[in-house]
Amino acid sequence: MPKKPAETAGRKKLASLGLVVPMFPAAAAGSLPKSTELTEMRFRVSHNVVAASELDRKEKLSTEMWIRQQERVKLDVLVEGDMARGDMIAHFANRIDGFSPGGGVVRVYGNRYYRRPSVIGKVAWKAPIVADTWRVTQRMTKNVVKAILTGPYTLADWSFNEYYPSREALVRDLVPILRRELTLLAEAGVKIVQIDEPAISARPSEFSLILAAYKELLAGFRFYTVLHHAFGDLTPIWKPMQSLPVDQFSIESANSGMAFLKGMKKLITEKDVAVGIIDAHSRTLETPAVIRERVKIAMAAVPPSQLWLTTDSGLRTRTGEEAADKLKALANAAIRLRS
Amino acid sequence: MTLLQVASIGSYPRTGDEKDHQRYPRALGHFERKEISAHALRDVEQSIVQEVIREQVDRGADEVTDGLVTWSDPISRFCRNLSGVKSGGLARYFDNNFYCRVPILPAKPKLSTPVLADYNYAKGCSNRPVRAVLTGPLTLARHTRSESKLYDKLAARVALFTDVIACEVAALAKENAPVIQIDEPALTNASSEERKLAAAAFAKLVAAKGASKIALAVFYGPVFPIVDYLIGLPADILQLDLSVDGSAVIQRLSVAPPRNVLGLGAANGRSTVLESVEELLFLVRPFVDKAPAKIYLTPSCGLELVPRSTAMAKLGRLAELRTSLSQPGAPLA
Repeated sequence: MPKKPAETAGRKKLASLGLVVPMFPAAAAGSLPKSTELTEMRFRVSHNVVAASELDRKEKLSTEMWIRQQERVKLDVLVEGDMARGDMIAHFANRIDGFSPGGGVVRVYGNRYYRRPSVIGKVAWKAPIVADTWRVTQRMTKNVVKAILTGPYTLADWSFNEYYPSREALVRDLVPILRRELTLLAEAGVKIVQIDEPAISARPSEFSLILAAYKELLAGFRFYTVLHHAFGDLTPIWKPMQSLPVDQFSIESANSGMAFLKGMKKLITEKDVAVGIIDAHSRTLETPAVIRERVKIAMAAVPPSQLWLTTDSGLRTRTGEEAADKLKALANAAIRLRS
Repeated sequence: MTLLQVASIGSYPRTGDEKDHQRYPRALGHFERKEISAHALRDVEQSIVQEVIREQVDRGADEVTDGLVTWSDPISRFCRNLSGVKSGGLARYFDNNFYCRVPILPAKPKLSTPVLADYNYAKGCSNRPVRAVLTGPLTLARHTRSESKLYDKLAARVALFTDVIACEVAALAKENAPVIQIDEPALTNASSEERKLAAAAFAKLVAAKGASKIALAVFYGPVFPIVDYLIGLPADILQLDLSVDGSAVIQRLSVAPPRNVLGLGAANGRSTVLESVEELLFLVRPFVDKAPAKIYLTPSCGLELVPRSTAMAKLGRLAELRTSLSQPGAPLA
């Protein structure tokens, strides 16, 4: 196994940003668990029982706690952990004009539900969505913190559209809003941006719409961009996905028994690929043997210099202890591979 | 005179904005953490079934379902009838933001007895006919995997699930279920080979139905391309999603009304936009005017993908449509 990475497009881009990452860089995919205390405080603030400033203080403390945790286990790129976000849709719906965050509660799977917002008017940017918290978080550490946004297609698809004539029209109007957010992040010095798009595999026939949206969304930015996907089949769109102007695909794998990678055998891509080797939806902590097996499948599909290791998706549904253990297992997998 | 009936055809939101509506998710959470017994969870489940049936009736449904309240999802629910099935990862269910656990089949799954408790309970607490709902063999086969060579081909899994669902159909027929609905959303994007498999499977289910009526429900996609195929199947009731290409489907049905009773899925079960009675009239009137003996007015699919308040409003709107259609000379939009 090579100890020194080959020059890849992703590594060149990172180098141009002053970032050098080791072989098999490891990073969590996104959210981390909130403490019961923080959840309770969010509830109280939503009912005006506690001041929002107190929640803000508590969110920062929780973010810092997770940043230290990620530093301790030696992850290469850090995440904020979404301490200030209710969920990946509501947080955006609350901060974009045209959404009615009220919507209603719907089930996503098993016993998990979310409040699905409705689009009831023309969407428009009204305030920073993620740039403010990212800036605060990045100041907490010398490591690189990736900024994470929900993508335009998923935002449109996971909301009820009561205003626009089509999904395409809604996506088209969401792009400039997210672009404005990316501009704020770029101005603040962000180096890695992850865009969560679990819905991109929902309708392969709409991929041209997604491609057009991303060309507009990311034009001219210099940061390294990750596109994260989970819980859908990428096989039908993998080839056209190569035209997306992103540097890395981050893909859920462990939860689906590495089915996509096993099916594709060898991924034809010049982009970096972060493979989910930690199942975010299982309480069971992966043993080194299980991780070894998953890494073996990942390495058969992705050239080592392009391979990153990650969690399948955010760990928000795990307990704090489970998430901490899973982060450690992820970091240790990378460290073992490099030794 | 056409008999017009409003029917709920599948899932119904098990939770809602009101605190009391959230008692089932809370109870499931307590159960998962071993804080309450299975018996206590069952009590809560049954109270929810009672509640959703009452709500459907209050909103004007002539035929109800148990809301599929106890289903974890439409796939793993029926793998409970097979021994040795492992629970796999999450996979998107069609193009919805809803996910199923993908069951992984063993080499020799054993068929256990059908699960009738849910249906019998619902029947006991409803003064309206309860439609029993089962997932069809093609849809089940598409959403399962196998580690064994015996079931790695789709056709083998369709055959396995045909046996599973035929047992359920026979058991429900024995309980005198008036309507047994087979959900086959996979037909909306099936290949011709898959359609052949589904047709053969459906014929076996029909053979087990006894005196019950059997409905075939197709949703989550365009129906027009397969409408002639569907008409050719031996279904007593064809339950069609009209939310995608409804006008084309209605036109086709109006040209030569089929012998099957039609369930017209006119109210979009995946959108919070509430259709006006005029819109619904415009859509279904051309077919209703052909005066078949019986028509069901229904949502396009189960209602669990919309909030509870929307589910109630959609059923209520279908009841208004029934009233409008029943009045002589009701205006067309």
